[in-house]
Formats: sequence, C-alpha cells, structure tokens
Amino acid sequence: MKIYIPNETTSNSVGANHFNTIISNLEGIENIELVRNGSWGAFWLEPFIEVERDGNRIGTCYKDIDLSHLRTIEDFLGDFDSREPFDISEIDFIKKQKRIVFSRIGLGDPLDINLYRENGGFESLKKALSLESQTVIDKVKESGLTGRGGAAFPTGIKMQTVHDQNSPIKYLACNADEGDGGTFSDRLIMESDPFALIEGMAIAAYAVGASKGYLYLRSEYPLAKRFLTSAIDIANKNNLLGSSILSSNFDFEIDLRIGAGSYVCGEETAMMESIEGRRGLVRSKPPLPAINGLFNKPTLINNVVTLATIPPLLNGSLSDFSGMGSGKSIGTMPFQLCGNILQSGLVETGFDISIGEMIEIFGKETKSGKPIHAVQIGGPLGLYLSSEMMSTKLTVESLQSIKGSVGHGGIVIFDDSVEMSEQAKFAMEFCSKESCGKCTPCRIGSIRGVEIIERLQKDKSSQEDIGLLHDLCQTMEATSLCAMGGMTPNPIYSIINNFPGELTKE
Amino acid sequence: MKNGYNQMSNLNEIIKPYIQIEGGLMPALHAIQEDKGYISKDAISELAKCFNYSKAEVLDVLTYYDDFTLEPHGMNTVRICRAEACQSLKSKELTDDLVSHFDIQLDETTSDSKITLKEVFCLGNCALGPSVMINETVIGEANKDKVIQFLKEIE
Amino acid sequence: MTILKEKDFGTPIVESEKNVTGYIDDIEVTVPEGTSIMRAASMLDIDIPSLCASDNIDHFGSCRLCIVDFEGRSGFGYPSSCTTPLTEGMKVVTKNSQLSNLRKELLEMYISDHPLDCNTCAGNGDCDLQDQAEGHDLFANNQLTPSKYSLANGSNHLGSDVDESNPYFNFDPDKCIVCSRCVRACNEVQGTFALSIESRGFESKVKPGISDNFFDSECVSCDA
Repeated sequence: MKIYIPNETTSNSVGANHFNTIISNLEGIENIELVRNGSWGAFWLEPFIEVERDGNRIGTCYKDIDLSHLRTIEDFLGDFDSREPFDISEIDFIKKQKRIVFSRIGLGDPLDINLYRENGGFESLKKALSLESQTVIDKVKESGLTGRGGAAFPTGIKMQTVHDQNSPIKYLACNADEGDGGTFSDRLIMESDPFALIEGMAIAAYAVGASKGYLYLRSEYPLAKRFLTSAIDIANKNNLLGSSILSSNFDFEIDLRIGAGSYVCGEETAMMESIEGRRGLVRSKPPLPAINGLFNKPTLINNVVTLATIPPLLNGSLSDFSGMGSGKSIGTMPFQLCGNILQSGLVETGFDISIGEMIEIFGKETKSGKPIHAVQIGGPLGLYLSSEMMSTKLTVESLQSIKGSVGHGGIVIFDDSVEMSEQAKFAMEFCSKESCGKCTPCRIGSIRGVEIIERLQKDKSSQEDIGLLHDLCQTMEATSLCAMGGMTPNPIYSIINNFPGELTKE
Repeated sequence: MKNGYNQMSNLNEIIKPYIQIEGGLMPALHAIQEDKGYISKDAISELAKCFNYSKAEVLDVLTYYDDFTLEPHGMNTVRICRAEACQSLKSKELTDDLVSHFDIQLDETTSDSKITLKEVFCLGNCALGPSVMINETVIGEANKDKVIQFLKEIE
Repeated sequence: MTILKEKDFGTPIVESEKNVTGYIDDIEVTVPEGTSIMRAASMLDIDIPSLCASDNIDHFGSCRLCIVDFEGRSGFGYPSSCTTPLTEGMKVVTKNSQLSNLRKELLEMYISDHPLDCNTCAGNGDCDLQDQAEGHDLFANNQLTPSKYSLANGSNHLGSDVDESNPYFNFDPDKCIVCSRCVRACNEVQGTFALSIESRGFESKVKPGISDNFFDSECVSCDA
C-alpha cells in the first residue's frame, strides 16, 4: 500500500506538509510506503492525498479537514474511504488536457530517478547523443516549437544561430525567473518533474555545443531551489550531467544561480547581467545573446517550459505536437488558470481554444460565485478581456491581432468586484517598482502614469488627463529600451478599449 | 527558516567559496544576507577586497536588488503578494489588515524586531491566492488569522 | 552658446578591417564596420540629439533622445542610434515629425523632475539638457518650460542638499538626470570606480559609494 501526499508549493500552502506530519506519526505507518509526490496541477483539489491499494490509486481533497483525532492508519483509511475518493486522471480537468510536457507531474517522488526512467526519462538524451547535433536542431525546427516564455521566437532558429557561431566556449542559460503575476508553470515543472528540465537543458546544450548551463531561478521559489539542487546532484551522480555523459564525448554541467528580487531579471539581457554579478540593467540589442551573450560568448537562452518540451519531442511526441495548431501556435501550451476561478491549475492544451471554452471546460465559474468581469491574459504586459470577448482564441496570432500576447500563458480571472482603473494603475505601478531605471520613458514615464491615472480616478472625463495618458503610453511604447516599458501601455489600452467608461470617459 | 543572525561566522569564510566563480558577487551577497540578515559596511568592504572591486561597485549591485538590505530585517519576513491573481482575491484587503494588525507600513519592521512586512510581486501560488510568504513558507488562501497562527507556531 | 565645445562623436572610434556603407538622411557614408549610427551621422555633421552619449565612454542607451528610424527595424519601438551599428545598405532617418515629437516627450519627462530656473544654475550655458530643451521649444527667458508631466503633488527628487565637501566641484542631486555619464567615466576613463547608482527605477541616485559625501569617498577629483 502507498499513501501519496504532495510536496509542492501550492499543496503545502494549504496544508500538505501538515498532513504529512500527522500521517507520518500514525500507528501502523511503518508498514506503508509514504510517498511525497509532485502535484497533479489541479490546485483547487489540494492537498490531494491518495491511497494506492492493489494497483488501484484514488484520492481526495483534504483542505481544512481536522485529522487531529486519528491514532492509527486504519483510522485514516476509514476516514479516507468515507470521503468518496476518486481517480484524478479520470476527472475532466485532467482528462481533457493534452499533457505532453506535464505528463509526469503527480505520479510520484519528483526526485525518484528510477520512476523518471520508467516513464521515458533520459531516453531522449540517449537518443540525442547518438545523433549529430544538427539533426537534433532539425527535429526541434520540425516540431514548430516557439519560445514558451513570452516572446514566441522559433526555438530551432535560435539554436541554429548559437550552433553556427565559431566559438570553443558556448553557454546555455535557462530563464527560470518566472515573474509574471498569474504564472506558475515553470515552478510546477521544477518542483514536480525537475529531471524533465535537466534533460531538456542537456539536449539543448548538446545541440548547440554548450558545455555549461546556468539555471537562473528567482529567489521567490525556495522549494524549487531545493528540488533543483537535489535533482542536479542526483543527475551528476548518475552520469547524466558532468563529464562524458552516458559514456559519450559530451560534457555538460549546470550551475544554479538565484535571483534577488527583480522582475526585469526575467528579461534575457538583464538576466545575463545578473548572472555576471552586476545590476540587472537591460542591455541593448544588437548584439544578440546567441552571438554575444553571457561573458561575451554565444549563449542559448530559453525558458523552462521550452527546454522541458524538448525531451518529449525526441521521444515519440513530435508528430502529436507538431500536428496541433499552426504558425507560431503549434503544439501544446501549459496555460495557468488562476485568480478568482473555482477550478484553478495547470491546463496543458493546444492554443486553438477560446477563453470561454477554457473557463467552461476547465475553470467552471468564479470562486466567489459572482459574474466574471475581466480576464487578464499574458501577465502584467498582456491585456484584459471583457466578459463580451469570451470567444477570443488563445493563439499567439489571435491575441497579437488585438494588441495582446499569450505571454507566459497566465490567465487570471476577475469577478465584478474588480475596479479596472485600479488594474490600470497597477500596470504603471508595477512598471515603476520593477523598472531597472536605465531608460527615461520607463523610469520616469511609469511614475507619471500612476499619477495621471490617480487623477483620472477622480475625474474620468478630464480631457487633459486622457490626452496625457495617451501621449505617455505612445511615448513609452515607441521609445523604451525593453518590453517592460514598451508593453506596459498594452494592458492600459485594453482597459480603455474593452471597458469603456471604467478608466476614461472619452 | 528564519533570517540569520549569526554574528559569529566570519565574513571572509562566507565569501571565500564564491571568489573564483564567475559572477560570484551575487551568490556571495545571498550568503551574507542569509547568514547576517543584512549587508553591513564591513561586509561591503570585505566583498570589495575579496573580489577586487571598489566599494562603490559592490554597493551599486546590492542596492539594485530587493533581497539585499543595508539594514537588518526583523527575525521573520512576511511577504504579501500583491500581483494580479492575488489582487483578484482581495490581497489589498489582506495587506490593509496586516498593516493595521502589526501597526507598521510595508518595508517597515516592528519595534520588537520580530516582523518585517514587505510586498512581493508573485509567489507562483496564483491558483490559491491571496498568498503570503513567511520566511520560506507560503500560505495559500491567506488571511490575517492564518498569518498570526503561523507566526505563533514558529516562535 | 558662448562656450566652445570640442566635437563629440557620441560613441568611441571603432576599428575594423571591413567598411560598411549606409545612408543617413539620404547622405551616403562609409565607416568601419561596427561604428554606431550616431557616430556615422556625426561624421556628416548630422548631430543626433543625445543626453547620455559621449565619445570617450561606451554607449549606454539611457536617454532615448537619439532614436532613429530605418527600414527593417525590429523589436520594440525605435532603436537608439548610439547602440545600433550602421550596416551595409541601411537607410536611416534621423529626424521627422514623429521622432521630434517623441524627443520632446522625453525631454518633458526629464524636465518634470528637474529645477526650471537656469539663471541660478552653475551649469547655465554649458548644459546639454538646456541645449536640447531649447532645440525642442521647451526653453524661454533662460528657463526650462514647465513640463506637462509635472502634475500637482507629483513625485520628484527636488530639494536635496548640495554636496559641497569636495573643493573642486559641487554635486547637486536636484540636477541629476541619471544619464550615468559620471559613473561610466569614472569606470571607463579614470578606472577608479568610485561612483555608484544606488537603488533602481525612479529611486536611482548617483552616490559616491558608501560614503556620505564625495570628499570621504574613493573619488580622486580627476575631472574626467
């Protein structure tokens, strides 16, 4: 018999660790295997505790349940069975997804390397090492994979550029500074399937000729840090990292670096500055990091999910993946459905789904029970959709056509208690707090933006302030050094256009 | 894990493992912040010496980042998430409640040095907001009572 | 202006075995590969507005005044000419009404956090901000025109104390536009690394390291 209790940030935030302590101390636990597994990503069910008996695995949500009266494992099992536990893989939320990248989260102990191997783990690395590096790149190109961090740049083309640079030293940098509000897919993979990222990094490094990888993780993710540190250590001990990986000629080591509380360090050039031990200021481009990046060497920079997508592509999922969608919206995207929504969590599907369908099939309704008023897509530099725009598709192209973006895939639901002018003010406030300060339109513009919106909150029809806001947004968009200043106007434009009268009365 | 207040450990010993690493100033700053709870003028001088930087260069880097402080934090740091997903679930009200309860503003420390209140933009716990991080523990669906209860438990 | 200035090409000389030929405001120019658009333009006596560039320090891209337009540009908005190299066949436009308007906007942002009275300023007559403001109709009667972005109760950094500790110069934080030329000069030209930018974003301030004033700092009064 096995008992599964997740060890993951969201599950722990609602008591998983607490239940682990209780159950670990029950009489009779010595005869049972207690597994701290990853989360299945159906977060509204956390802490989701499961029992496996005779090959049958079922579970139920234990949030806010008082188990202090239990003494023995039998007590627990009695309590457990009385709650009508079920097979989580059979619920619509999980069944209707297309989990290619997130196929293993929840299965078992994320650091159990044998479990990882039993589920196809490291087969792709083995295969990659038997191929020419150019062949690996060709497969990534064939897949149609584009960057999942927000820029949606064709991954294969980026890899080709780094591969083609004539330099004995090249680097891989994994951007794990997932700073957008409403996003957690990177964190979930790092905590619940860290070997997937390590394998992806090793394959990408092999393809471009990098011998060292920097994994830049934000400091707000302490549990992910622990899992990654252990996973890297285990991989090193099993000849999956280090010298002569799997008896090949390929050497690759991963150096975990921790950020220090700066959103802009999720921008690739600021991230490089930070890794190099400097202020996280944005660098101008050219040069492209692929040509002149970390420590002046050609550097492949990719997001966590982008890298974790590479192993499945080399292990049988390529045609499944490339057969879904088109253009820049090929394959699956791990959308993160959260905020004021009843069924919140990780939803990996193709891009060709509308926001209305996403809510209907997966999220259901708001947590508060009140009507949905706004949906934020693509994080603080994304856009707000109104309840009349529910047929909007979540493809890169569809969102770009309305001046938005998929971004990191975060979807935040707001009910009708939201004040859209506060959201507009927050867009500028966030920019002002996180601005690196290098360029004027962002450094000064964002503060002025907060001030103008505060005035509009007192008088929505002030033509002078409306004009000022438009001028400011236009200037930030046209002159900022990076996407932070350049795209901060986007959520504001969306609020003006999609919620007429709630910020400005033009 | 509480903010370190290990006054006994030697600055040079803390910094040494990072000197030969490229970009080692960042992990060295983290190590000192964790051990001492802040970056003192002595620490800045020692870092400058070890990395062969000017003190200005060290200051330049450390003041850019929110995690590094020139003044000691309280024993426990309570970070309230104010990003969008938590906003949708009333993080503003939670912030007001905690500011009122501890009788300090954000970025301030209680007079008994026990609690520092800070805001943070996204803990990645967006599915079960509003979220609060106390030291390294995240509390989901947080409210004032849960925060107070947790602080009692770790005392 | 009454003070004679040495010509500043904006960004340092670049040496290369290869040359490239491009067009700036329809005028052909050939430069060593890697030369910035700003420098190439300057060689044609086309002075692109700038506040943070200087040819004795590496480009920075902070003020954004030097933005230009060219066919096939990618990325967000207009690129800065100090950070962008001229490439073969590139056709650059350095001034038009859109660029002029954006430059004026940027200057208004600077002015919204800056004292207006040039009469009482030691830099009067030898000040790039003053020159640029004048060139964009933001200057009259020896005063900067109040900025449209200066709102009642708006944040600013005015009212700071002047650091008079060093006998060779005064540092008045009110006048600072965080162009970082001083920090970069101290690092790249002088090699002393005595200056730092404290904090980030709007709170960025030039500081003489950990000292409270310039006299006690690592500054060697070099005049770089």
